[in-house]
Order: sequence, then structure tokens, then C-alpha cells
Amino acid sequence: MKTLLILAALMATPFAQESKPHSHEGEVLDRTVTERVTPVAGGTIVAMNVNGLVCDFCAIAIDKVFRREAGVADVAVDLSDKIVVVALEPGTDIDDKRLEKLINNSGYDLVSVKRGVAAS
Amino acid sequence: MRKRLYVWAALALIVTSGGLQARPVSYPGGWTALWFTDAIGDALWLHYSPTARYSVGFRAERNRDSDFVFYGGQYTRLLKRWNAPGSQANLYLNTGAGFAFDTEGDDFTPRGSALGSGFLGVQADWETRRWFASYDVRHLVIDGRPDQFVQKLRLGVAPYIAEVGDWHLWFMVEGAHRDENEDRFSVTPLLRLFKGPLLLEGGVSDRGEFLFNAIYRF
Repeated sequence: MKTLLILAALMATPFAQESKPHSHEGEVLDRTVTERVTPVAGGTIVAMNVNGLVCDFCAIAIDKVFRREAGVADVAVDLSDKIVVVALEPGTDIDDKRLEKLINNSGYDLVSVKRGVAAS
Repeated sequence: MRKRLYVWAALALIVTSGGLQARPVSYPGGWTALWFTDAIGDALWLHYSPTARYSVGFRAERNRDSDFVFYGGQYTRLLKRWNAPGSQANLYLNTGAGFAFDTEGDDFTPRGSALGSGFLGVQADWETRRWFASYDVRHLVIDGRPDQFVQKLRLGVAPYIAEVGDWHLWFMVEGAHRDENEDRFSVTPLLRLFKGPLLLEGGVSDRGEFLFNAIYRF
């Protein structure tokens, strides 16, 4: 009973509000974002703002989940900026819905997505 | 005693089968090996997360105070995760069943017949890159033995903010209350070191008892 009361109290605590991710397409991304990954010539770079990133276990989860996805060439997680950067192979893309699912499956919440290319 | 085990099993089923939002214990397809040593004993867990929401695994533990060993299956479900821009909080349910055997002194060779055993626990934590707090409670039942109730509260602070792949250092303090044959309180200051898939913790309690924990994800 003691355990159940604690459980109920913790679950009732409002902690963070979830929001739908929004996407920005096709721009030239800032070098500070793109230099985190090794881009593939002609490939898109996806930069995602993600909630819940606090430790190396978070980074490992994101890395493992994204590297299994077809078309992913490189992945980087920055805990300070709370972003996940993914370099894609040329001719491939991952839509926002799929990105959100991959982030959710890793255990985190997607806030926003930017797609673009590295500055030449 | 058997009736109590059935009640636990039913409660665990109700909580874990509901439409509760859950997150992975590890990432899908990830394994976690955990070793815990504290004032009263040692425990080894080996967990696999088939999906993003739960893990199943094996748990072995030996209790130096109450002279028993336990072997059984364990199920851990992430009931709820709160992700915020600079923090993460989690609520886990942890339950399992197996067999316990009597032991004698420092000899952990199982003796006598297998005793039916089960446990139910809840763990909650909140973490930023600077601060950490957790609470953990567990109730263990062994057929024919007194119930065991353990609760732990832990607070921590990171003296510096480390990036991915760096060594992360935490100063922590853990308060534990064990209600076994008698109430017992202990306070353990400890250090946590964390790099990539490896997490190590070590400390000495106010009673001079050693704590060592290790977690590895693969």
C-alpha cells in the first residue's frame, strides 16, 4: 500500500509538457551544427532539438537507434545544446514522423527538426 | 504468505498491463549488466530490453545479514518518463519471482530446499546534468521468513559538466532504511564515475560498510 501511494503521487506530478515538433527544411545549416558529424557529399543533415538529454546513456541510446536506420551515415549528440545531428547518405531522407518515432523509441522527446546541408 | 505473493502478482499485472505511457529502460535491443554491493549483500542483474518500454532479465542476490541467496527472473517497466529541456525524470516498476535458499555465514552455498520468493519495487529519479535525486523502495517476501523492506534516498551533484564521452564525476549521498529483523539506518557518501556505457560507484557508510556498484550497457 505504501508503495502504491508513492507511485500514485509521483505519477500525478506535472513535470514537462509535450509539444509537437516543428520542422524547417532545406537551409544551409550553421557550421557549429554540421561540424559535429562527418557529412557525406550531397547528403542531407538533420538537426533535432531533443528534450531529456542529460547523460552518456542518453547519447548511447540515440546513437544505437539511429545507426540502425537505413541511410544514416553519422550521428552526434550534444548534451549542452540538447541537439542530435544526423548525417544522411545522398538520396535518402527520414521524414519528421519517423524521426519522432526514433527519438521516442530511444526514450526522449523531439521538439524541432532542421534539415539542410553543410556550408561548402 | 502464498496469498501475499498472489496479491503482489496481481498488483504488478494491473500496473504493468494498463495504458500507462512508458519509455525504454534501455534502448531497444540493449543489454544492461548491473552489480551492486552494499552493507547487507551483493546483487547481479542481467537485463535485456526487447522494446523501448521494459526489460526482462535475471537477478541473483545474496544477503549477508539474513543469510539467504535469491535467484529469479526480474521485470522492470518504465512506467513514466518526463523529458524536459534540461532534465529527465523516471518512474520504474520492478518486480520478480524466484527461489531463495538458506545460507550460513560467509558461505553462500545454497542449503536446504527452495523457498518461494517474490518482490515488488518502485524507483523514481530526477536528473539534470548538475543535480540528481532518486528514491527506491523494495519489498521482498520469502516463504517462511520475515518480509524485507528497503528504501533508499539519494542526492547528488556534479562538480563539473562533462560532455559525451568524457568522464562524468558525481558526489552523492545515499540514505538507506532497512526493515528486516530490526530497523536499520545508514548514510553512505559516495563517488560516481560515468563514461560512455560504464558507470561505477564506490563509497563507505557511516557504519564503515563498503558500497560498490557497476553498470555496463551493451
